[in-house]
Amino acid sequence: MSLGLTLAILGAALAVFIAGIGSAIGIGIAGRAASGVMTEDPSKFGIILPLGALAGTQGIYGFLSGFLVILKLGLLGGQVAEPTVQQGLQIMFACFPVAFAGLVSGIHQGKVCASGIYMVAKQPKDMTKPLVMAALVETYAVLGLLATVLLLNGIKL
Amino acid sequence: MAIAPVKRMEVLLPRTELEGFVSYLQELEIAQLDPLPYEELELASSPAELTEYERWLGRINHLIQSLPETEPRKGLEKLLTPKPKYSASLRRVLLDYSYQKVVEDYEALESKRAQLSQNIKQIEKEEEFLKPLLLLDVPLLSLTGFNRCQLRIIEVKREDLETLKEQLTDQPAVLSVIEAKKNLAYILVIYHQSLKEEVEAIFSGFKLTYISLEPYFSRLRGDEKVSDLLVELDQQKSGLREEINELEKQMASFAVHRPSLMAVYDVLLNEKQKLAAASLAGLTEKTAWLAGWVPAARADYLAGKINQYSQDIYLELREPKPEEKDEMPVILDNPPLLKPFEVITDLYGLPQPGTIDPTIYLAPFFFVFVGLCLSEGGYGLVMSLLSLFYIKKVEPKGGTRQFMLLLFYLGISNMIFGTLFGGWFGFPIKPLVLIDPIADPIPYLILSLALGFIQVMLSTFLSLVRDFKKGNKVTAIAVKGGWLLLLPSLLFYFLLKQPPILGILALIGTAGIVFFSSSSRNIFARFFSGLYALYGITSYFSDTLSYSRLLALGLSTGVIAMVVNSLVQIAWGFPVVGWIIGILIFAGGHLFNLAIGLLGGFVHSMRLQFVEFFGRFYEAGGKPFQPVKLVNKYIEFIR
Repeated sequence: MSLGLTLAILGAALAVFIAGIGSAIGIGIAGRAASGVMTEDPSKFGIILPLGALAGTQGIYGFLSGFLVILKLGLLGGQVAEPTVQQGLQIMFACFPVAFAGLVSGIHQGKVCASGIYMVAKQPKDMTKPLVMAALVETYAVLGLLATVLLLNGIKL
Repeated sequence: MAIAPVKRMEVLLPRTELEGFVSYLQELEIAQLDPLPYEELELASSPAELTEYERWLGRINHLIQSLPETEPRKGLEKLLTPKPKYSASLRRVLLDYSYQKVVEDYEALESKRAQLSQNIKQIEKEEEFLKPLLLLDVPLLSLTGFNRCQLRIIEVKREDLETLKEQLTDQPAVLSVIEAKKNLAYILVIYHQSLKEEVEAIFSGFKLTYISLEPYFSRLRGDEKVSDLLVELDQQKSGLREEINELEKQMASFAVHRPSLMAVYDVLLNEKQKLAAASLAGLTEKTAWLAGWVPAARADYLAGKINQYSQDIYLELREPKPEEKDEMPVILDNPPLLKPFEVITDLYGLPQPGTIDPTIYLAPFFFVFVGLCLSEGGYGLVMSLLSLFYIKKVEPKGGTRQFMLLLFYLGISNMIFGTLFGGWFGFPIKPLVLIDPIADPIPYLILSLALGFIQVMLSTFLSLVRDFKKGNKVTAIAVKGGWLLLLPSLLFYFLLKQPPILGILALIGTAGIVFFSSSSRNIFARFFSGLYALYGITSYFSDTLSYSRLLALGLSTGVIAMVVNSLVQIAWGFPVVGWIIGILIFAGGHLFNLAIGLLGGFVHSMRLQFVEFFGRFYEAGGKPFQPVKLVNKYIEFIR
């Protein structure tokens, strides 16, 4: 296996696990808040769940980018590409936006979701407002994903 | 297609008819009642006495919650069962049902049961106390009645037992171990009265507890041992348990009352609402004055109905005065096809009276955006079918119904855009696909940004309309019109590099913005703050770029669907059980993707409306129209 291919795979791995860490921490924060609220009122499970799950998207974006790299490299079957060292580095750097934007926005989205969950505990009718607040944070993960997708698309193997 | 006009309603009626009339309004569900400036009008008002109702509501609700359902339904089936229906005219009759007696009887049984469980707890405590002494195999009475000797039962820490024994060996005292457990030991010590001080001095060196059986001695009849006491307690306990069982059977028999109680609960709830609404009336000795709002379209209907109801009621319906405008409730009025999109407007907050209702403008964009964010025909089909099924089965009313209809629309949107830009359950229908964002994301990005630019321009146009209506006609046309001229011509000029007329239009637009943005009379101040206003172009730029999220979200659903399908393909190759695992992965994976994708697509499309679209023109803060009406928790009233 060439160094180029190894670097490209490193990129895919970074995208998946760094963005995944962001989501894991974010959901962890929101999940704790959700359990706290549900000890008082278990019937709120349904309306709290979307807020608990929203911080999970960064991990999905990271996974998605990793998958796009896997597709690009042909690792799922067929001819495995042989990128040069430069191309491998390019793919790796292309994975950075989704990885790091996902890491930080995941954590902060989790915090926004947690306070949203506390809000829903008091005002169950206003559940979409904290969802929109959380989406404001997610914008930057989406932009990170967008940059990664466009960069990957631009790299010719 | 805008905000529906409302009329101010003033009603004068005899005080005696007040409650009956409010009750009638509840059934009509078209009039909102407001408080009056009582002191200014020198009217009396009587706050409603609701505590009695609230207490009964609480008690009945407790009964409904604790009684088993007559036809138990679980999970999904429960969710899909509509509420039982009652005719609204039955309300009086339902109140005649002697619910008070039922509630009181049940509560009596309940408190008896609580008493019995309390007794059981007491017995269990006693058992806990006696159990360690089980091996004290002597009649308890034989431990009393000594004159010269002191007899003690002691609980001591296990690790202290040996030391205690050692220290007592020098004393003329007898120590026998009743039972030694892991942590604690129970011992019986007998010593002579005259040695009391010495022995007890030794005891005081340890952490130990004297156990006194004194309370039992008076209860004993003969030669009972500890084991006999325990047996006796056990018998008492099972006796109590049986009594509780008996009580619970009686309580369960109350389940037949549950449906009636549910109906009574809702009737009482509405009685309470009625009194609260009636208390808004301003009162003189014999008359009552009610004021509120009615949708203008229903005004004649209300007048006719009230005329039929009673001749003693004076009703006036008139246009609102300017000073009443702040109190005016807002009713959105859109054609039935667009009604579901009012959910989105409502979530942000209703528009102020006299401003623009954004529903009709956001509807097409929201419809398209959710389709672009998910772009999955199969998921769309599932969404549409599920929401239709729910509407048919549960017959939801009001907001829930509109939301379900909205989901139905969004399903259709996905079937369209899933076919054009995505696939069905991850499988593209190749000949129909216009753009495949995975292979070539750029056209999809351009499409997203183009839609975004159109919506940003629309919001600028709507802000022009708003400013124009507010009176700043020249500024509105020069500045907002300037942007509308400048931005498209700039865009097309950069794309096409010609014709020069575009450059001229852009300059005209710029001039409008520069010279009319500031209202200053000083020509220099006006010019320079106008130049600064041009800096606002960055907000148009960033708002348009924000729509690029449509590409990212659309891509994510499509790729995850593909991943699910390739996992299914791998699982399919397993011997024997491969197809079962395959089907499970297919169903679970796509369901997960649908849930996450719909959540993301819905929330982000909504955000685009709220932040990028509403920002320029929308004025929220309208008060919702809240007519007095029949509310329901457990049942549904029909007319």
